[in-house]
Amino acid sequence: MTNFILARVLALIPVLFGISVIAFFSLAFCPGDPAEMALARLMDTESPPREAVKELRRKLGYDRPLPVRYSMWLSRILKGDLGSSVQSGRPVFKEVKKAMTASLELAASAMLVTIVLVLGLGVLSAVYAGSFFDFSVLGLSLVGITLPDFFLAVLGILFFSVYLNWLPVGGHGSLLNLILPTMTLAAVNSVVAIRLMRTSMLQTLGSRYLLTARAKGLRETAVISRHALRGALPPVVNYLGALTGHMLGGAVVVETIFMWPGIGRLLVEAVRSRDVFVVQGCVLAIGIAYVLVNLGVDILHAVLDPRIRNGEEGLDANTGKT
Amino acid sequence: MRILARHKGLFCGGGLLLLIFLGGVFAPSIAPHDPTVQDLRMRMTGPSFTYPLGTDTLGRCLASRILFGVRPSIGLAMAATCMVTLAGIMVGVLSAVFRRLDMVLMRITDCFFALPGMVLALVIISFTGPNPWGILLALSVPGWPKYARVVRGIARSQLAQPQVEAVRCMGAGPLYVTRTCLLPWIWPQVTTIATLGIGGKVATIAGLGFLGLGVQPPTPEWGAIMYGGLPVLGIAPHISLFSGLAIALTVLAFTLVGEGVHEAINPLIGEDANETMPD
Repeated sequence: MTNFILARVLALIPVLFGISVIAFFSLAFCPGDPAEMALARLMDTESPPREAVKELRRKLGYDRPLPVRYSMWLSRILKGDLGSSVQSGRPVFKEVKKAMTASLELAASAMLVTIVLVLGLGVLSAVYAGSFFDFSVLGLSLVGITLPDFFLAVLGILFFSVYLNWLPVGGHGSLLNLILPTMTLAAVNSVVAIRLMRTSMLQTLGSRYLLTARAKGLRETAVISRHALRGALPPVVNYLGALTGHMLGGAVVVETIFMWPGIGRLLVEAVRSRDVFVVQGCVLAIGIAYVLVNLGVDILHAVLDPRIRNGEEGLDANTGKT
Repeated sequence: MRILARHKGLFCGGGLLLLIFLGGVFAPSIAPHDPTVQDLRMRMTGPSFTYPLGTDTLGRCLASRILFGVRPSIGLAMAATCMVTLAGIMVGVLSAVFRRLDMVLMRITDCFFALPGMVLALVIISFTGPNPWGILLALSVPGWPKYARVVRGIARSQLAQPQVEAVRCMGAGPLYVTRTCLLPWIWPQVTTIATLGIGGKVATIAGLGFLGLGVQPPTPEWGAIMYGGLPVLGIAPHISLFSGLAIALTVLAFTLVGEGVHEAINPLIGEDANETMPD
């Protein structure tokens, strides 16, 4: 198990390097000259003197070749210095940390609802395959795949906030604020996972070891919840893992609509106001969050499926074969 | 008739898509009004005979705006899908044929998987600005790794076949092998993902428009129209609802066609090809 975790951690290095390069490029190729912009803000003029800009560029190393600048940038980042926001003047590190906490709240609650939906609807529709219940779950999931998240959010606001007046339209703070964004995010993201759970469960339900479980006299609920579920879970856990990573940064639109002060909204605001340091901080945070979540999922996967920690290939999500 | 019954989804989706296409192409002749002309006395009115879908916050005809909105959405989505498909096939084949490149190319695709599509799109918009070329790039960059993975998988399994080995032994170069032995196997799979992908791109374009970072006014765009209706959701919900419905129907049409094509081409697989990675 230790070897498995060590190998996984080592495999993260190239991905982290790639993310850092993307973040660096978002800074290096941004339009406008950061030195000029910083000076303009400092001296409170539209066009700072040319010599001063040149001087600052040399001081900041902007005239050096890209690889040199990358290594300078990286050593600065590793010290936790992400620069400060052009817009608010506060350090980017603090802003990103605050936003990430809010995103984490939203992603965690949405994930919780998603897991409940996937386990409930996915398993039941496989157990009662072909029934009216199964049919309506499949139908609903097609609707869910089709509706973009922002449209679902608007429908939710229209029904729960405008028509029923039960929930606030947006904001952050109370539990009531959390309900609509959580529901939207969970509804949009759970549909594919529910379908995957159903498929995987159907394949497992056909396997022989369940015959053994039934033959030794276990009740059907025990057969399904303890034996079949464990066999059907690995591909679903894999998918949900990637999903959690994407919820942490990809809830851009949902966070913006519901005015949730998360990392996605911070990124949108930063792109709108061309606040390059914040953009770069957000990209780093989102990428690192995804990578860490996936590491966690890989370990969980190995716990669920012993073949993986022994270096064998696990169940294939598509075919159900090894 | 039997074919029609067997591929219900494909024909429903295809019909819907045809309607949307025709609506977009003939928008100037069938739209009841000029999509940019404002009538400030008629702001936020509901559906009526003169304005079939009502008017927006500036008194512009919503039906005309939605019809003209087909053009940027479908146009950009299809252009981006073409770029993504070509890039994905190139990277996938290169990485399958030249094993030394494989390691590097696959690590690069890993990095792109680590950032959600919308985040990458926003980063690109942050340095290109929300112009059509920037949006095209923003849609294409997050998309290609998925295609590259699929293409690489198919190409590798084909290269292991004895007949391909025979062709290579006779001295065929990599280009000839790709054209005759790999592409015929790659196209069907890629067509399926691409059709499903156009729907996703339509949604992404609308999402960017919704954030104010997509197609810029005065060009009517569905996401932007929807965002414009958000503050007046209580008094004029039709603005956001109809534009959202346009987006949803277009995505539905592409999804139905994509799944239909998938079932028609790969009848044995049956399950959705698109289900292994979240976008």
